[in-house]
Amino acid sequence: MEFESTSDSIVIKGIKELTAANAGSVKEDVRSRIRPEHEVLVIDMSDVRILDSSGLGTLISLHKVMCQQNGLVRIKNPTPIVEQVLELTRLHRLLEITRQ
Amino acid sequence: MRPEALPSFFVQFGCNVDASRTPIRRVIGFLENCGFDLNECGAWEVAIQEGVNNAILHCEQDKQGNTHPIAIEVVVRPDYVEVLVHDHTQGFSWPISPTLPSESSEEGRGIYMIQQLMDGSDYLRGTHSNRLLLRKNRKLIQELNIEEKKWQDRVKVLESKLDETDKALDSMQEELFSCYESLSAIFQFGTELGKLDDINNFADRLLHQLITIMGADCFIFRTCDEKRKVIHTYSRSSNSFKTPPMNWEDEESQCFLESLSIVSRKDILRDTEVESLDGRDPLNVFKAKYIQVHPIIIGEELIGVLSVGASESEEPFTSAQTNVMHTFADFLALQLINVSRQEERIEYGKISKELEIAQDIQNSLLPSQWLEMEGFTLAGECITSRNVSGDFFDVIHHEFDDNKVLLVIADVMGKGVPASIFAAIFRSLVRSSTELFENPAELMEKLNRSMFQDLSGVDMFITAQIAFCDLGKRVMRVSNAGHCPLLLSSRDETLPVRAHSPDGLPLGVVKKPDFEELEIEIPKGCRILMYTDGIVETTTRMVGNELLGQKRLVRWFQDARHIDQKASGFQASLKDLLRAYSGDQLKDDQTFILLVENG
Repeated sequence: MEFESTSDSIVIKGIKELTAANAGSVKEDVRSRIRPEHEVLVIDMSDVRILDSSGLGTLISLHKVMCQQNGLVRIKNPTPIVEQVLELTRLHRLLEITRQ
Repeated sequence: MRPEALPSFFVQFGCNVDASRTPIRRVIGFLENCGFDLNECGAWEVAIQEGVNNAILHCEQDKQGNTHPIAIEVVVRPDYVEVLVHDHTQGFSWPISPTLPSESSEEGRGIYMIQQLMDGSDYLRGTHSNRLLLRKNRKLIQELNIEEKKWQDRVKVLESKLDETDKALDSMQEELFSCYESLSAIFQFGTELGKLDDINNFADRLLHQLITIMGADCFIFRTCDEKRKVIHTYSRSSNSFKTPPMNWEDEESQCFLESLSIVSRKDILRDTEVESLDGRDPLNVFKAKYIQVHPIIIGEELIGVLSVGASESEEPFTSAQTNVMHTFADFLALQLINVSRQEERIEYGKISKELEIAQDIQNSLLPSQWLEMEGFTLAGECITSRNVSGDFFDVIHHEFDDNKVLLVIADVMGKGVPASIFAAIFRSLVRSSTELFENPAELMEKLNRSMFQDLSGVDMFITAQIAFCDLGKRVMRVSNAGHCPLLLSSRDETLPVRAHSPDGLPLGVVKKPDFEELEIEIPKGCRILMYTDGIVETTTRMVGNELLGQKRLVRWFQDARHIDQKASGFQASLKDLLRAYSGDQLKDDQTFILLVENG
């Protein structure tokens, strides 16, 4: 997992899986890197081959953190199965999805 | 037959999340080999992971604090795949319709996701262990089934098309046979064409042959008189068929089959048991179950109507039989047209011959030889645009006095035979009126009196000019009935060309017209020209189809007068002029008389 931080945003990439196996550690790792000045948290999910309900919990948790500092979570380039899971659970309405 | 062994997969691993990832990846690899695509495998992986997560989260430890391993079993069926996740938990009740938690909730979506991602799922609780059952249909098999169904449908369609083709081939075979029969019959009849002497007999035999080929019993062939809208029976299969002429526009006949076919210009096939004929329809004589009526049209011309009936047949006429009927009908119609045209040609030949004779007779009525008169010569000619002409001229010498001559020229309105008949009558009347030889006006009155009734009866008239010349006394008297003026000139160039046109209406216009008579001195070296309107109405091709006109004719007459020549010389010069203007095509008859004094 890699982090890129600017003055107002933080980008996370290189996640291969987001499941019960790593959901907790990812959540803690990311939360620790979010600064009050960050307005956008970009999670690049172009390499994620599996996202389970624990992974979804992590995304929702990070969303709450960002909301508390008037920021937002942006899911970038989700793979088809990730997009399918987000749509099935209707979280695509909560988390902003972008493609570049 | 032993059922084919179905593939299966089994894997077992320790009860912790980290240990689960590799076995689950192996299960997904196995499923990929079962034909599931990338997206389906993604769904499988999420669902199995959810099941395994639950099994790990809720597993029970034994007294020694150990946990039981978790097992994943894959069973492949022909049309679906089942994955069983064995857990050692207390188990729970599988919700039939799980709902999503609120958006802010960070858990509680696993079972919902499983049910959404799988085609079927269940949770089977047991005594020592429980099983989460996940099922997904094999799209490959479904597609194969769909493909098989499609192929079966295609086979059905092809079989149906094969049946249709068989039927079409049967129909084509029948049509081919009919065509062969009709061709051979037409060929046989065609050989007789050169020696056709009785077209009625030919039609009878041809149509009897037709009903044999069609499997029909009877026919009536009627020809059309399009002008009167009437059909007449030309040929019929039985003399007992009494079918009088019929006007197809009569109110009474409008619902008869023949009338309907003629008016619509289409074939009509009637099953009389389904729809009976009108009680007065002439085709009731057939007493047939099926009647086919065909209007015979060549080009735009309606030649006739052919009706054929079949009493015994259980089936209506086939398209092949109908085609044969059309072929025969057209063939017969063409023969009728040929015979009719041949008759017309013969008739035209006869008329042409008669017209040639009429022309010879008319020519013989015109002067062809000119009597010698001391000091004067005469010439005249009637150039006709048709075989016979309405123009006429005559030169009548006095019986006893060689110095007296009567010049007559006339033009009957119109051309051709009617005009030539009046021209002949006109000549006879003039020739039989010698007592009025020296009084042209009186002669003109007599001619009008004699011909008025006949001319006005047919709305025709004659323009004429008569000039009596006494060359001894050098005087002439001229009378005119609506004709072109007489031109008079002299060798003496100081005298201008004069045109004399005494008053008088054409003959046949009014019952008692007045004709003026002019007495004119004949100058020395005189040249006199009398002509019909065909001369001045000759159009010139050189000046945009302009008429030759009287001015040009007078100029020619003026230019020609000083030449010391005889009437025949003037005649040749005038004809050169006319030829130069009209070429070889005459629109109207051209007639003239010339009287020229020698020297």
